[in-house]
Amino acid sequence: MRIIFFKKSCISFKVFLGKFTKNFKMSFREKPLLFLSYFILGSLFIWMCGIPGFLTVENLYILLHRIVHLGLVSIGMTLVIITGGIDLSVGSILALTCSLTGYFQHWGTWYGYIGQGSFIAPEPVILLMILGVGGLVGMLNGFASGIGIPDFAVTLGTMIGIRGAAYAITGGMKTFGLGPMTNNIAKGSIGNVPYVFFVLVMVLIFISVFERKTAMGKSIYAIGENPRVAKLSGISYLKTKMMVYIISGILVGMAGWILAGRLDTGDPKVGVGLELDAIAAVIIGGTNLYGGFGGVEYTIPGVLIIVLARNLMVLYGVSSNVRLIGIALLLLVFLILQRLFRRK
Amino acid sequence: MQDHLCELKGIYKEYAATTALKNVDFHVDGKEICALLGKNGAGKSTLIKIISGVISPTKGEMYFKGKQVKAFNTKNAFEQGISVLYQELHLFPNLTVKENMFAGRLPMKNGIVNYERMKEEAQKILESLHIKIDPDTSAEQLSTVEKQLVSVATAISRKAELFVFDEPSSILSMKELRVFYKSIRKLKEMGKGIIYVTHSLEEIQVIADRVVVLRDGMKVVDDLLKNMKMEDIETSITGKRKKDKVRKIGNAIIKKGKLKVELKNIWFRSVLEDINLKFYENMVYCIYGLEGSGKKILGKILFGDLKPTKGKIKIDGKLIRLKSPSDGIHNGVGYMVDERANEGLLLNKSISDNIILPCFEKVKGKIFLDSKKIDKLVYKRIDEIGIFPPKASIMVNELSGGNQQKVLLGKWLEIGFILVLVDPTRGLDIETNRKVIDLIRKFRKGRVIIVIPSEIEDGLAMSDWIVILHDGKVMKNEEITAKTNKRELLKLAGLEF
Amino acid sequence: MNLEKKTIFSKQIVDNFRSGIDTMIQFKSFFKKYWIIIFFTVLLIFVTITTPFFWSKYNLLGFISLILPFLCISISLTIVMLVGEIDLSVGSTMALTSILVMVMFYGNFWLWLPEATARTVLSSTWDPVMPPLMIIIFILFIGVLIGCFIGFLHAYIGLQGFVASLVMLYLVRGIAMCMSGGKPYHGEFGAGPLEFLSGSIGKFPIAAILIVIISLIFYLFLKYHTLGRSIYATGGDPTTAGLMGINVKRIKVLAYALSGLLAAFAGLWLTGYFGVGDARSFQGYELYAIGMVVLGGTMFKGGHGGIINTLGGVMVFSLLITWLDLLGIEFYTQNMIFGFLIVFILVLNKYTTR
Repeated sequence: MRIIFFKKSCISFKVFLGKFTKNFKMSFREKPLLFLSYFILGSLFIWMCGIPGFLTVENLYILLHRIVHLGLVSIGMTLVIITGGIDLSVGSILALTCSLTGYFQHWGTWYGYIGQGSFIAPEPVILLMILGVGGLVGMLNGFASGIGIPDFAVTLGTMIGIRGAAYAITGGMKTFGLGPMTNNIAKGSIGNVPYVFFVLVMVLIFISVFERKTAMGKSIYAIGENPRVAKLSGISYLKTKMMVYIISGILVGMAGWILAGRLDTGDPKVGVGLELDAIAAVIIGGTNLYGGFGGVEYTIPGVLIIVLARNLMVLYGVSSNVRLIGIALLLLVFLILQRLFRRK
Repeated sequence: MQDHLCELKGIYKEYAATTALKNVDFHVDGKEICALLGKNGAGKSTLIKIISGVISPTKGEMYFKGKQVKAFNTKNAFEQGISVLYQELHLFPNLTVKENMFAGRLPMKNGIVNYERMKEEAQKILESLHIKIDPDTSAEQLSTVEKQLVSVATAISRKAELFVFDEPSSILSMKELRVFYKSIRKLKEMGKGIIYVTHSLEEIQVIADRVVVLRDGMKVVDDLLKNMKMEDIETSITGKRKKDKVRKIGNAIIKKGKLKVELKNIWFRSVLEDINLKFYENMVYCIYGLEGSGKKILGKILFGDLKPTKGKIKIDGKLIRLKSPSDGIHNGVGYMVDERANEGLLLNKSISDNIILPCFEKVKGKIFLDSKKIDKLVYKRIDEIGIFPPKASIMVNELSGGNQQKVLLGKWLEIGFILVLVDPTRGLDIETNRKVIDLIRKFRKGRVIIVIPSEIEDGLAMSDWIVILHDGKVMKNEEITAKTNKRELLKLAGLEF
Repeated sequence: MNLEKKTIFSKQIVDNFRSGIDTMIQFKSFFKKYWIIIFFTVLLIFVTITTPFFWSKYNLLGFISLILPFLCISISLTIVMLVGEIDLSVGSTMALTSILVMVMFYGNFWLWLPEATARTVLSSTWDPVMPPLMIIIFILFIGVLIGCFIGFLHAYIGLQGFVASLVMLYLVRGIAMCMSGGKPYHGEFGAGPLEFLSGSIGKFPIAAILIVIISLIFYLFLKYHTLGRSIYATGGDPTTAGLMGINVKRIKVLAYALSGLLAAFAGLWLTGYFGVGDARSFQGYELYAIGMVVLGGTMFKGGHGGIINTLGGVMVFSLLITWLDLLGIEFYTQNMIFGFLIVFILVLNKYTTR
């Protein structure tokens, strides 16, 4: 059994690698946007190497964590955008799952130290519960958008509603101190590479294969390209939408759990503006906002660019508000570029 | 010599694969109704598109009211006074009739919109055209013919000089057409020029002053109606001695198979009335009717895109409820539409992706899609149908129109044992037309193929059995033989004056 | 004889049945048209029963003062949705104007440079940078500018409407945060001359007067002005509108400009009323605006709806919010309720118009 699983993962990895390199070969000829984003990534990286404080182990370690955090969310966002939609609620789902991680581990006792008695369930089960919460919110988003309500309206509603729920449930307060397993997985590392980075890579490979080699994956692209043709070919708009939003919700839930573990705090105030970063990462990477084109391979450079750009601004001492403006402007520029280079 | 209202000289229109128009001279004058006839692909729509500014000619000149037309765009044409009425009309569904008629040129009084005067003027124009519609009605609530009439009225109010009607008989019922003709004749009285595109010879006898026939991109006839004989016109349209009898393009004779689909007491709102039909394997059925007859609705019901208000569908003897296209596909029904760009194919995806779209189960491994199975299936289809270039990874939008049609066909052949093909030969040139017909005949083995054509000749050429629909009822349901009389069938469909 | 009686009897039943159905149909269409008034009345009854304090003068004033800004941004959204687009930047525009009001009335316009010196309490005397009227006009102009920019991005560059406004949502809020260093400005004398906004002329509170004036202006504009009619036309069918000589691009920019104008006014008014300028406020207001507009009956597809519809939605929502406030429900819990409520309304809307 384990051998088969191992073989399959090797094959999937080879597929992913093969596709990846094929993308590289194709990209520089056919897709100027992808080329541009890798070029910018490269230049950005080189520029930053010259900045003191960038190439230190501490900084790079933090960057890896940020890449995992944004990466998980952006992967989900990529799928949603390919279907022609958008998920504005990721920040709020992060808040809900992060605060609930703390909440479930402080069940019954509020600020007290956690011990065996305060867990609502064993830690691994709590992880599953958190992923479930993310998935449930995703299901709501998927259902509402699957019956025809514009995605931005649905996820805007969820965005406000879920954050409200996070506050309402936890009373707006943080919970300090989480369980050992949560802390170890979220904070631990092999050498200087965090455990969670490998989680990200696995998710990346999995979703990458999912996109191209499953029926549902093809349906996602079909719906984004032309919903009417997809429907007439027997693809259920509702089911596909629900699938992408559920996946997105679960991935954000994962990111929320990891964040809680890393901060050792359950905090309902996190994630404000996360949706901007995720959308920017996906768009800059090259996935088309209109749908039907793109994929997680495109989002990789996007995530890296956003994380590096933010780091750049921090290293230059730019305040968080200006960072917000910076990312928004970056997104705007790429949106305009994408429009000018649009596929006919 | 007096200038014509609209004149085209030496018009050529060339595309990558074909030449749609070759050296066509065409003119229309005021106070005249000029009928434009020709088969599908003869060049009628191309000519109309040039006149209305949608496309520009490769070579040749166009003059309107004596001045040469330099810029070919719809806005220009519209402003100059050319009004083209297609099946899609330019109406605002959310505004009333009077607001539609005066959109962009609202009558004002003291700086605000004057609704009373708008209503009065609208009333005047509608009455002058004998149109009995209340100007305060919302455009959404109008029937098809009323919408057409309002478009005409709008054009009049904008002082249009040239009116082009593109096959109104294909979307209006007989009763509605009679009403329509009154208004058209009024237009003629007003001194406007009218181009009336149609297939129907019966129609031109009633409405036309002059007849122009296009065939294979060239003008073959241009004369006053009174100087011509019907048979001659028919001949010039098809290019051969036209018989009322039907020639079938058939190959091997396959026997009628088992009963595959049965429709029992199917009703659909007020469109379809008590339809009872049986479909057997190895046969190609042609369901023909005019636009309001419900033929397309019937197709959608068979597929599951629409649910009948009453009635049962039986497939292979079992009662089936089709709630959505995926139910239809599950039961082996494929539905190929006429709008292949919008509703048929994913243009930015490969041939392979398009063909496997309705049938993922067939190419699945245990969890993932098996690329070997996909290739096998796709290349088999490409081979059988003759798609060119025969490479599965090519994007569909890089193929020619005919090949795109073939991909569409291939998509449905895969899962469809019951195929509903809506107008499969629309917009194709003669050669591709014949190839598609051959394919359909070839693939009828083991399948039920139902063709819903827009021209009865195409349907008769590729089918074994004809069903005529008129106003939602089955008028005829019989085998196509050497004795089948096309004119009789058309009469039953309602094309009678 | 018996047979005759039976036939007459059954005919009577059928007639009664038919008239019953007719009445039901009449009732149904009446209900469809005026349901929102009925709903509002029912809600009002609930409110009166549970929180009779609602009818106090103080609360009523607050209620009307809540309606005004909500009405403004709802009209913003209405206009933009009528052309078939959406404007997500209204909340951020309100926040920016809020900061601008405090900054310009209380001190140096360049207060925000450098950020480190931002003060949480401004000077004790109000010290407007320009004559107050000019400041108001300037701030409204900023709103128009933001709207025009979004409209330009959409109509002339080709970005989707909601994307363009989404980007501005972040950009404008970022600018507002920069200007204020993220901390609120409290004016010691409220917002100076704008204080009068919470007062009244005679018996009528200024807010109520403004509500009537603004609703009237835009209602008349949409119904009787060429540009207003062009807005409906563009929403109904942009291609046809282009053919009829309407400059669709300009109309779209106009719609966004008006939206920005109203959002700026809303922010202006609210800041004047409360005397606090905070760049973090008004988050989520775009959702509330969408909720009110959809509840009122204007739809996403464009061309359908109007001011009267929106008024209904605004009234209901304002009543709900005030009621929840009176019940003592916290801000974030309210958010939760409204977030899900609006999603629910959208779903319901989808099912009733199928």
